[in-house]
Order: sequence, then structure tokens, then C-alpha cells
Amino acid sequence: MLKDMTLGQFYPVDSVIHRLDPRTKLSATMLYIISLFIANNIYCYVAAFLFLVFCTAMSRVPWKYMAKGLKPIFYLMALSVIFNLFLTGGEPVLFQWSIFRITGPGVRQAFFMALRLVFLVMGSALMTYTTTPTSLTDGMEKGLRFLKVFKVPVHEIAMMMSIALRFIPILAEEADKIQKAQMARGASFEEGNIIQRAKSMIPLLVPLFISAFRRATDLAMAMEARCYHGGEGRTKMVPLRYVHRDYLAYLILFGYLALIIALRIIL
Amino acid sequence: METHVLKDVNLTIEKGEFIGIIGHTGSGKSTLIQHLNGLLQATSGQVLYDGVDIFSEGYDRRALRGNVGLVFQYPEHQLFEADVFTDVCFGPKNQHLSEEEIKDRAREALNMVGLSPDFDKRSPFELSGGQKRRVAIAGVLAMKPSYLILDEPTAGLDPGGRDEILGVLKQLHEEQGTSVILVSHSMEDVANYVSRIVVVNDGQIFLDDVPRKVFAHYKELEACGLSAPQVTYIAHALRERGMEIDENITTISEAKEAILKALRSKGSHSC
Repeated sequence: MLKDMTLGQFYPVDSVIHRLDPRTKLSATMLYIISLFIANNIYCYVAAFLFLVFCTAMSRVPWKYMAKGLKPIFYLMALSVIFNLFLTGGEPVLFQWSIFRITGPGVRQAFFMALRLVFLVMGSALMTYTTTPTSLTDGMEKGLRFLKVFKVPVHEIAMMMSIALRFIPILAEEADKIQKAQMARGASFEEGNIIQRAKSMIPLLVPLFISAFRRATDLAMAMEARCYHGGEGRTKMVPLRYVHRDYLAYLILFGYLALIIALRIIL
Repeated sequence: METHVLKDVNLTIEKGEFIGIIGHTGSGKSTLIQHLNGLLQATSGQVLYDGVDIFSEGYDRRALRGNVGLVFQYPEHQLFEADVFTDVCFGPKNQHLSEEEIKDRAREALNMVGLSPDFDKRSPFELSGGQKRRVAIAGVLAMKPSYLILDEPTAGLDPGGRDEILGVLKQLHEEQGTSVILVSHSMEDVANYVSRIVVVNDGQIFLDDVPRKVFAHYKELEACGLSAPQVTYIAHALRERGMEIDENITTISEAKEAILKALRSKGSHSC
């Protein structure tokens, strides 16, 4: 059912990582991803792995939960491993069968690519596990404020994002309700060929759109009634403020990045 | 931990009954009625229609939904066609009836809810809230169900609109013998129309009886977050003050008679 759909995967425990400023976590994720692309030898990957283990342990998100995030990228990963394994040239050739050839650099490349993907997904998953979607948009709004200079409507975009996120479960529930109501009138959503099926969606989609518009105008009215007039001069009830742990986190983060760069250059 | 939305439900609904299902928010009454036409399947237990399990293999649940009509809460949100008439045709069309039969039924259903042919070509979205709801109810009536279940059909309507809709249901029950199952938390609505009340509390059937007997338990009803009709409270209050009045009254007209009777007998005593 549509209602069971989960979006955002916040894992609600209390930890240092959870309490970090969302901006810190956003930049940390960015830097971590960059570090993965800087990494080019096994020592770098070991460092990246240890850093991930450290952060996960701090976040108190169970490992099983972290591994679950890898499931959807399994096929992508398998594909990239296969391509790298067979299509990388170089010496020495380890295995050859007609046009299929596995080389030493190919194995290395495939292995690193798999590691890179796994770390990338786990790293960004850790951010979504420890940050609620709302504080994430808050963080983006404040973190990207400098874009205002280029006339990017940062506040409006953030506001739209948080409203959209907020409305997904509501609309999903509404869709479920309308679907049942139409089924009670004899509608069937699982019968016939593709055209009939598409047609059978009309009784579901039209009321859903109407209800979305109705909710949107209601919300706009309610916001206006509370004097909302865009981001100009708007203050927050809980303003984002960097505290000690954020500075410490940045320190660790830059230390880690320096280590990766050093490992790449030296080894 | 396992939680049951519904538990130990044993309910028989006979043809031609007018039943009220009451229960506070979250008591499981909406879940209960969605089992009656097979929209939800219970994890254990059976739902029998005319003695046949509706989830037995090969059972035509679509036909069942024509026989057991379900009007959801705020049914006006399900309207989607460009005009009123076509929207009402949606149900019968899904029953694969002939073109003529579909039109006849739609017209009949619209007449029943008091919408004249002037409304046929109008967009359902430009109607008033009460009219929209009547169109939506007509959409289910056009399927000619022998059992009609309505979830809070009067929610959000003004007293006029409420009486109109309940009037339609009463007429339907009396003239066509349709069984009506009315889900509500308005005791007044229920007390005025139904002949049997099922009280759902915490997913279990708490009481199942005629209205006056159910409302006699008004103290227990309050413990479930419900209440009896206001006249029942008045009757109890009057009795406490020494008036000889039948305390099991549930409707305003009953109350009027009971009070007049009590006053008359009091008058004759003093004479």
C-alpha cells in the first residue's frame, strides 16, 4: 500500500552525531565524498573505512540498519564491478576467454570502485539516518545563504522543500483513501491492459490533484494569515548555531581530509 | 508487541435493519466497516455475506461491493468526472450494466438525494459542500446496494444538510428496504433514526442493543469517551430533582411526551 511507503529514514536515537548542526553534517558528507574521489590506494580506503566506522559508532545507528541502505544499489554496484573488471586494459592479463579479459589493474579498479560506492552510499545514508528532513532543509537554507548574492531564492526553495516533504505522507494517505473509495464503487486498479490500467488511474488522480490544490491554497491562506511574507527579516524559533561539538567535528573532518591527501601523495 | 485494531468481533447484520455504529475516534469503527465489503482482510476470522466467506477462492468481491455499498467519510473528495451525471454513472458502469440501465439508475439515485436534472450537466466541483456530498452518496446509491454503510455522512454539514441526508437514508430504508449502517459519533443523529446501536470501544464490541437500552449505560459510555443524547441527561437530572419521569428517553419527541406526562400526573396529584 502507498501508506506504508517510507521516505527519509531518520533513525531516532540520541547521539553526538544526531545533535550536530545539520550544516556540519552536510559539509561532512560533501567532504567525505570528495575524500573518496581523492583516494587512490588501499591505505586511503582503509582510512576512509575507519572514519566511517568511527562516525557510525558515534551515531549509535545499528550496523544492520546501515547495511540495509546498501540494498537498493546492489545492481548498480554489480554492474560497475563487472564493467571495471572486464573493460580495464593493462598488464598483467590474468584471464582471457574470447573477448573477455581480466587484468591486474582491472581487478584493482573493480575492487576500489565497489569500495568507493559502498562508502559513498553508507556515508550519505548516515547523514539521512541522523538528520530529520526538516533540519536538513534548515541546514541547506542557512548553509547556502551565500547564493543569495547570485539572486538564488534560497529561502523559498528551502520552504518549498520542507512543505513538499511534509505533504508526502499526507498525500499518500489521501491516495490510499481515494483508492479505497473508488474500489467501493467497483473500480479495479489491477485489471486489463496497460491503456485500461492507465485509464483506471483517472478516478484516483483527479481527486488527488484536486485535494492537493485545495490543501495548497488552504496552507497558503494559513501562512498569510500568520503574516508570512517570504524569508526577508524572518527569524527562527530555534536558530542554527554552531557550538563546541561542531567546531570539534570540523577539526576532525579536516584532519581526516589532510590524512587522505597525505596518504595519496606519500604512498 | 502486537496490537489488535479489532478483536473478538462477532456481528450479524440482518436485511432491512437500520443500525448505528458508534465509538470515539480511533476505536476501530472505520476499520470495522472496511471489512464488510472486503476492502480490508482480517488477519484472522471470517466475513460472511449470505453465508459465504467473502475471501473464499473465486468470490466476486466486485459484485459484493455493489451489494454492500460503502460511503466513506467526506465522500465528496472522491468526485472526479466533468459533470454530476457522469460521476454518478461510474459505480453502475463498473457493474457492467447496459447503457440504459446505467442512466436510469443514475437519474433515480440523483432524484433520491434531491438533485433535479438541472444539476446533471454541472461540474461537481462548483456545487456547495452539501450538494457535493449528496452527489457522492448518489454515486453509491446508483449501484443499488442492499446494504448501505455510511461513515460519518453528516460530518461538517450544517443542521439543514444533516437532516436532509439522514432523511434520504430514512426514506431509502423505509421505501426500498435497504439495510442502512450509519457510523457516527453524534448520539442525536443515531438516536433519532436507528433501531439498533453497536458501540465499538478499543476494537471490541462493547454494547449491541436497541438505543434506549444502550443509552441506559450512559455512565459506561462516558468511560469510552462517548455520551448519551442530551435529552437522556436532562431526564436523569429531572429525576434527581424528584420528577417522576421515564429516564430511558432518547429523542426530543419522546422527551416532550415524557415530560408532559410527568407534569400531568404531578398536577393530578396536587389537585
